[in-house]
Amino acid sequence: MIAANEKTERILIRDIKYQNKEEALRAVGADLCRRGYVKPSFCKGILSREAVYPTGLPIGAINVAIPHTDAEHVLKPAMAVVILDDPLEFHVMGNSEKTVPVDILFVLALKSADSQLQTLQELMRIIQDEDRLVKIKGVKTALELDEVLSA
Amino acid sequence: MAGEKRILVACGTGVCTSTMAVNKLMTALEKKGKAKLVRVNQCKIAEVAAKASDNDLVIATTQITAKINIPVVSGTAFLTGVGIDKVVDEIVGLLQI
Repeated sequence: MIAANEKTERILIRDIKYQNKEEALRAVGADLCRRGYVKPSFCKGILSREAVYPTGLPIGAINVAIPHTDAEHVLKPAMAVVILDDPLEFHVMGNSEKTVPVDILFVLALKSADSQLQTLQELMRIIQDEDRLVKIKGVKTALELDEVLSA
Repeated sequence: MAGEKRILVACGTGVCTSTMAVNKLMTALEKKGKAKLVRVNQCKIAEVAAKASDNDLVIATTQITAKINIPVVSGTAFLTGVGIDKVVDEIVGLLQI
């Protein structure tokens, strides 16, 4: 059974200081769980996934990471956009020896590629557009985030 | 379709970054008029070793530690947008399409 294109909720998280990437992932995972988007197992899922298959992407002036895990930990699709004023080191996707200082985290809670294809395509457009990344870094409210993402 | 090259696109979950890579790959191949020459499948990294024999090329967004007999190309360029043309040329060259 395929759920009719379930809308992926976008959640803005900013102005919180994390000591390291593990703390950030735990905090964001807990937030998504509290809001009902993911199961408690999601936290462990993104942490262990990040350790084995890192998601840091070195793009240029602004770098991102896209932590995610198996769909079984997800209740409702969501994407948490976490703006890090102090960049956190993440290992690089496909090259775990290297690290990259990440400015924006896109923590993905996806249930299936098919129903969330639009979200993934939108995410790709965003991370490959430096102007858009700069704008996202500056948003202060969920409304502003939606505006930048839908532009 | 006879003669089409089979590309296996793999990532950790088999869902997220592989979908993004397939999307960009097919767009790039369509621009070159070569999209119909390939058939693309997605899978988890853990499944690559078993499925390698049914495919001609693997594109992976994460590291592959298993030994496989077909060419493996890194797919992270499809995500960052940096160096996509180079990777697509490499793929076209390896598949001879």
